[in-house]
Amino acid sequence: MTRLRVAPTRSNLFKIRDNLRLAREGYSILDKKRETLTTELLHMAHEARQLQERVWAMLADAYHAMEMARLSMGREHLEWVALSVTSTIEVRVIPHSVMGVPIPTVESHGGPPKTPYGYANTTVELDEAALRFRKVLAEIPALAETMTTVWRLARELQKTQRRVNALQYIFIPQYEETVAYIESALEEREREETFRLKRIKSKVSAPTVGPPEREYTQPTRDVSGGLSIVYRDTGDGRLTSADFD
Amino acid sequence: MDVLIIGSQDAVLGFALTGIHGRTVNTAQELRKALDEAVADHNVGIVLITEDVADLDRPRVEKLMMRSAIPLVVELPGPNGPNPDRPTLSEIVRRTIGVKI
Repeated sequence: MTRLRVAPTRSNLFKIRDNLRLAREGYSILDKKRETLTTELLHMAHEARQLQERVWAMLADAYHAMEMARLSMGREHLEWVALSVTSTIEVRVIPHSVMGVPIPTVESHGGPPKTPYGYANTTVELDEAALRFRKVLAEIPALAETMTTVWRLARELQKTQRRVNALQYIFIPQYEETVAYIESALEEREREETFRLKRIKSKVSAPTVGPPEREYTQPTRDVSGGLSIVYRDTGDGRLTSADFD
Repeated sequence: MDVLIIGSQDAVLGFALTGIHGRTVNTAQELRKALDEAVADHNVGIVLITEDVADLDRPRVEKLMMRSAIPLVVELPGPNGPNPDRPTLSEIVRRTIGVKI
């Protein structure tokens, strides 16, 4: 994962920590939204599919019957017959909102009359077609409500999922990494500073007369029990050999 | 509120037998005009639109399906049946939540 290209300063650290906190908050909210939408969608999807399949099959029947009616009576005559149908279904659409998604409720009443036209000059095919379309129409309010709801929930869920993923896999790791980088850079700088201060202190407080104090003493290790040539630290800053003279 | 159908001749005629007002549409321009009028008309509650006609201006129709509170826009298969290339409802749901329904 890449970290942000920012200077490792304390103000940047605070800024990015804020961003990280915001991103985590956003993530948890969106995650809840995703859960809610998924539950709603699962709740409706099965029903919606069955309804859709049923209505579509009915509609295919209706189209077929319509073709038959047109063949038996002619388009113009059918249009005349259609003019005699004066009353039809009334719907009421009430919008409300689920997690910011506009979801409708549809109420309906009334419907087309069963025999709006005279039996003279009309055919059985027309009756059949009209009946089939009446059946389809009766399902339209429920279909409109369910389909719109499911489509909108599904689309919103996709959008939410994209956002959740972007936060989870891109933004949050990026911020985390940047915060870690800045923290380590700052700590490193602090250690350098401490060391520098110690060094300055040792220089300042060093005695002005006498041999210079050593900052470090070289450890010596007697590996052969004093038998071989061993360099010893004599304490005055010079290294001597015991068996040399 | 009323139901309105925008579609090809057979669909419009069929729904006309049940007293639904219809607009026969053949070009994208006619479709846009019909949709504009339907949206502006406060007495229209549901707009049915057949798939073959919706294909004339797919982005506009999709936008209305997604966002329009009133009227609701609902797509129905045309006289030639549903387009087999279009992902169905259950496919979209499955892709979205990863569960087959």
